Amino acid sequence: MVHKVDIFKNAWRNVVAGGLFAARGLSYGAMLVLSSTLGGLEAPRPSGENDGLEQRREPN
Amino acid sequence: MHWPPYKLATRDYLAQAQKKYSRVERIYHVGQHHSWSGKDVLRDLLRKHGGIDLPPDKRAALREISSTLLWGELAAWSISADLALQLKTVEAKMAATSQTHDEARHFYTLRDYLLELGGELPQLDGYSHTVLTSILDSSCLAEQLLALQLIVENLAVNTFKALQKAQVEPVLAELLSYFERDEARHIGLGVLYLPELLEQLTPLQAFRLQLFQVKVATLIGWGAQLRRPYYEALGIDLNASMRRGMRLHLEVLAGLRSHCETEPRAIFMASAEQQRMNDLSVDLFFPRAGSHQPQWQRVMLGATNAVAAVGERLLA
Ligand SMILES: [Fe+2]
Ligand SMILES: [Fe+2]
Repeated sequence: MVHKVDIFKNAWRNVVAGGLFAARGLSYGAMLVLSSTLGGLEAPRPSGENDGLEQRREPN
Repeated sequence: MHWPPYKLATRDYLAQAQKKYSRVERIYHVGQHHSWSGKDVLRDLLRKHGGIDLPPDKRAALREISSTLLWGELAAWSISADLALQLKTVEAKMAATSQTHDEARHFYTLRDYLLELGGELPQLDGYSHTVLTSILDSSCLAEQLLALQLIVENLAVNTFKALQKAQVEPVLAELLSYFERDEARHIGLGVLYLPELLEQLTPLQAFRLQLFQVKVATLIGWGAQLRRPYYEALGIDLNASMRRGMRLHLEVLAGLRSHCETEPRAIFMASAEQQRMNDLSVDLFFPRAGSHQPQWQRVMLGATNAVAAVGERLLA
């Protein structure tokens, strides 16, 4: 612990983070429904394609 | 508590510790061996490339992204010093001490680079600020080790890679490859030592650690959405970058799992199904640069961008 914790500020941030988590979940769900009813989404990129991981970091 | 802990210098204890923690201690020695001077490296790179050549709009976007990196380095410096103070195992203490030395170098080198870049450095956005202060304020070592070494360090490495891949600026690209080698060791400390801390957690602490991960991951996701225009201005494809970041994170978790005797507690290990969901959510919220989006997706993105801005104001 580096500096003094403001309990109220911390609680408020947790509330906001909780709301943002819910908002992400809801919008994800809505997008899934929309994409299955309306469609039009571009074909997903195969995972791992050209993402630069072939030059792996050195295990030094 | 007895001080000094006399057992630390006894042969039996040492033999046991060496068997268990020699790889953690190696992080310290490798760090010393590969130590570099930020002053010398930056000066040489500036000379080699004839200074920093970047149009003003890209400079502004780079300052926005670098602000998070710079204050992230300062936070990592403080948190690793905190870990060096509080970790009980000598070998882990050595690794954290070596990290503290690295993060100090990262901070002053990046600061000097940004001074060379010119202009005023923008303040941290609410998301980055909340993530960093949450880790700074945490009194739980497992939370700090997990969030700093396994999440934030990983995110930093991924941002470095994105800046290099987009060939934003040659001095920075070369400089960041020095940073990246150091950060790989810092991730190593988390992978090697976190399993030990996880075993000591009570069920309540384990539950809190899970909540903490969800909080940090949520804030990072919204923060990326908020800063999307800056990434685009620098020619970074956030879709590819986020997917790469998730893969890096999963690799780190796989490494962590391989050092645990039983399934690691309190850490979210993504199943194949969850990985597919993650990839899909990246495609939905961070569509590929230059791709065509259907009307409904554009509307949803507009709405979520607005949420990202509101969340930022609530947190700031
Ligand atoms: Fe660093
Ligand atoms: Fe680091």
